[in-house]
Amino acid sequence: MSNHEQRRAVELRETYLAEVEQSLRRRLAPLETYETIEELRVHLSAMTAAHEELGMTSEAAMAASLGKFGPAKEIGGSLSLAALEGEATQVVNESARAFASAVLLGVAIAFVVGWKAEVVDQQLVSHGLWTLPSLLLALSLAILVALFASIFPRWGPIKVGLASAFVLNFLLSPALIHHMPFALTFATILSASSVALAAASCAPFRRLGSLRENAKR
Amino acid sequence: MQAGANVSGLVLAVVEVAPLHGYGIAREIEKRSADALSFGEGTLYPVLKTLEKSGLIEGKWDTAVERGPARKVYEITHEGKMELGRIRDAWSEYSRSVDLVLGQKETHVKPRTATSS
Repeated sequence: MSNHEQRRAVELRETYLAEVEQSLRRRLAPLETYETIEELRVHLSAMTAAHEELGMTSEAAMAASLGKFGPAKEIGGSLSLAALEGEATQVVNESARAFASAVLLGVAIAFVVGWKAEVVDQQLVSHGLWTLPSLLLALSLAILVALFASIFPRWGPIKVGLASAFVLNFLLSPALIHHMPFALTFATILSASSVALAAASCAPFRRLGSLRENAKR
Repeated sequence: MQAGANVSGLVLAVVEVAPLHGYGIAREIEKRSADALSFGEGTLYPVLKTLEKSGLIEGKWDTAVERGPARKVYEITHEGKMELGRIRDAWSEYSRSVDLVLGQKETHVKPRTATSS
């Protein structure tokens, strides 16, 4: 097989890949574009080698491979769309999972700590006046900490959950609540703030917004 | 063959057995279907990307290739296996329904022609 033919085959492949890359650059990150093009290059080379084994020349083998691969613009467009749709799905899935686990973690901690606080409260305060504020305080703080864990998932929800349980136990010691005359008001405000924070900092909406912006560009 | 939902099922079924790269997936689909299912192989990549981004398959670069360049190899995830199960169920139901309709030939009753008196 002549060098000229091989060179021509490579030219055909690279022209095709350049056309695909042009469509990808608008939507995909540079690394992802590079990896995708590399994947296509490996595939086309393997197809061409298989055609050559059947006795085709390099150039004919590459032309046949490109023909079977499909139009470059169409492939590029479909790849861009798939990347965009896939990213949106990924963002929603990840964030929904993180948010659900954060809420579950918060509620679980609140129940455990609230129950414990109630037991200790009953020993110190005969009529259990401090049970409601301690439960609300535990819930709001736990939601805040769990939300923090969901926004920064690399911290690990388990580690943050354990740390929050420790902090809550400390904060919710009956002595502290006993010295806090406006505990109920404070806890209610904190609960409302944490819910507002949850809505405002909800990762899916923020990231989906930026995805839509990218799509418009 | 049209790219899309059908190809997703085929890809998941193929990588369920063993991790494969794009070229390997295309060859395996052809082999399993005795060359009946042939498609523009470029259309495989948008499907792979969608499946990967949805967490149904996981792609890893295999740099330990002795001859030739590194290849991206795809492996099915737990979610992918669940999805494949759903696709198989849906396909079974669909094909059973079509069989029921196509199998009605013998029992098909001709409508009576109107007779004028």
